[in-house]
Amino acid sequence: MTHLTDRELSARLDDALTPRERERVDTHLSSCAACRDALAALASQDRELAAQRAHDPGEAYFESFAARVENRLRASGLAGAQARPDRGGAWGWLHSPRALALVGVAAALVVGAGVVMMTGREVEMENLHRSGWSGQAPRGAERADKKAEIAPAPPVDRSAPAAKDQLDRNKETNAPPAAAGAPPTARVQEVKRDQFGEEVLVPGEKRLVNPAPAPAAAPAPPEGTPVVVQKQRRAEPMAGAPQTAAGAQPSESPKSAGAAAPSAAAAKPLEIQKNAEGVVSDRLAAREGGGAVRRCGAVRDPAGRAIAGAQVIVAETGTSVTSAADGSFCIDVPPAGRTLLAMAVGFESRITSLAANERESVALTLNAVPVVGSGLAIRSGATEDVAKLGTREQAGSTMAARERDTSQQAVSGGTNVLGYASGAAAPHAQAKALVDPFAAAPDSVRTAVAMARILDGEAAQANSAGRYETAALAWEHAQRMAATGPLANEAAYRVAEGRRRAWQLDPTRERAAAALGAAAAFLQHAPAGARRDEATRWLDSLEAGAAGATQH
Amino acid sequence: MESAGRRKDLLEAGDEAALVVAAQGGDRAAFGRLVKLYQRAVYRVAYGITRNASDADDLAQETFVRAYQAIGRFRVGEPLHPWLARIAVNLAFSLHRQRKRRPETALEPLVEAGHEFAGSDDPAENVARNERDRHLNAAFEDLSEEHRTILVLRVVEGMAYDEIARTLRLPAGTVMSRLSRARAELKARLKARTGES
Repeated sequence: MTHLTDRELSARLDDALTPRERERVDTHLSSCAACRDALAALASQDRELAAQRAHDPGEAYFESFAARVENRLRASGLAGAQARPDRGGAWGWLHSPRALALVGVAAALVVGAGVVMMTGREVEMENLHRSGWSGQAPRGAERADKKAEIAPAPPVDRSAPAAKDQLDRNKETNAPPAAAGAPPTARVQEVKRDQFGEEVLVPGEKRLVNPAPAPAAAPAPPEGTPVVVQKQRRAEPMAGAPQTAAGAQPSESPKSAGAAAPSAAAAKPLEIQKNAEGVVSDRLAAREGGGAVRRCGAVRDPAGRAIAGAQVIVAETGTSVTSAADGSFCIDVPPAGRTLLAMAVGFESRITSLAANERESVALTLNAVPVVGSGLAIRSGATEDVAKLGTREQAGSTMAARERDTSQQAVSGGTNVLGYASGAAAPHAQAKALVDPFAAAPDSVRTAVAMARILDGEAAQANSAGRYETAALAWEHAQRMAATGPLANEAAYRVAEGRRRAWQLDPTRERAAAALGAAAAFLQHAPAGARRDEATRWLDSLEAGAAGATQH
Repeated sequence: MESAGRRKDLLEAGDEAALVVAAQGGDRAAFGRLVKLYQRAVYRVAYGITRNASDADDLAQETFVRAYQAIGRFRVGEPLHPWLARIAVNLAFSLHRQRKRRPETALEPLVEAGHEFAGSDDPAENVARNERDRHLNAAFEDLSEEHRTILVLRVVEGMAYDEIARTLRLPAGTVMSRLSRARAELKARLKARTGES
């Protein structure tokens, strides 16, 4: 058996292998203790290095950091009350002769490229003037001002409180600067200039686009439900769906979800709905690339509202896409693909057979899932797995047997643990996939989960901080594999759990920081429920513990 | 605490692109929020390379000064993190090269991870307490700039390959191979050192 190379180990540690490579590497790892050790050694070297080269200057440092940067900006000549806010001149000491020369050219030649450049600057400066710290210099006066740029700036109050006031004032007076000022799209990149010798920026025209508005998914949630629009990849919480109630009491969720979801779920578990509105029919384009056929459709909740960020997977091949803000998706279905699986946070997964008619749009309707209930199930399921693993250990079963068992648990665990058992009967050959949605997830995800579970088991057995960290790394990998959806959420939780265990076993600042980070990361996407509450408690205890550790 | 603060920052994080546009329009408050968002990341990179708290402080501040100066040329919609990291890395190494030309008393050994100057200003004590740490540090310092940079970005700062590729303007494949060489190199140098002693 050839062992893994440095490159493979390093890439595996970082999760940077292609799915095929990763599968091969993981297969090898699951049967080769030497390579697992090598991987663990590499991970441990990384940890040591990270610990050695990390330094926390404390919260107070960062509290005042922005103010110090502001002071430095002022000291550098770009003062708040200054009438000449133009960058080139005021910052002359920083990028000296070239910038000054440029300004000189700009002042002298109001033609050609100079004009273009000035146009760009005007827009910029207008905004600066509007921001309140640039004085009352009228726009038309700016070109004349250019000449005066090199002249010393008027005296400025440099005291720190003034800086703060300035920041505050800006905050008030200049809340929507982009909207207030001239459209920034008019700007043209004036110079290819690097600010400190090595930074060479791409030349040519540069357009500044207005910030993309937050995607308007679905109807506005009623009664002030806190819908946080964040990353696109995440399933958009729908009104009424339990996971939108981020701050809600756990006791509320089962009621609301229980009312709607299970009854609806029981009604038509496998129905393929025709897309009556034909929302995406214009995107229907059968493609003959490699025999794959492009199928399009939309993911919606029973009320017809779009579900953004849902994962749509061809069960047979693992090809997956994520639904857009309007719930629409298009996926290239290989010839072997006959089954689609749709998953979204807070919704029950839906498996559906593709209609033979390729031109037919696919409507996937997902029912909301009672999150709190499944959250409790997750907790106990996870503990059981570890417990089972422990007893099997004591019984002295072989490594190989343990790994097999764990892998199976991992796969079937996906069903139980996540509470996704769909009670639906299988009308076609995909029976297994129906029972276990994650059996239809890409192999790479399942392998990653299996791997993480093995490491979890080893960590529980060895009860060592390092092992838990290794397991947490494996869960991080699984999380990235899953990218989004319930499995990613599950993995994020496991990461947080592993990090916290490691910290409990051997509390160091680094571990506290890692555990805090993992818990915070989980909370970012965690639906309301027992786990969320638990992770919040972790955060509190970790913060308290970390604060205590600093005093030693 | 670092992560407690990060948590707070995450919660306060607004639309980054909107903040960038506002900062490009001269809104210092918006720039201030960007500073708050990335101050920890930039500090981590700076400290990761210098392993010196006061240098890291200086570099982190300077990074934002340069960033403010150049933000007009920043492409809205691109991730800010690699861009800032790139500035920080370049500043850190130019400081490093400057020091090499004009060597001063090295302060690095006095600062150990997690300790302020006052905590451990006796190098001998440091050495006795953590020989492994010393070896690792020396092995790391022996590495090429390239290797140190990529290890800091990946291992200390935790950047993904594509972020590293953006930061260093490398093809993704190069990131993978350089990183694996850097790790192997560090391992070998560490082994040589611990074998010696």
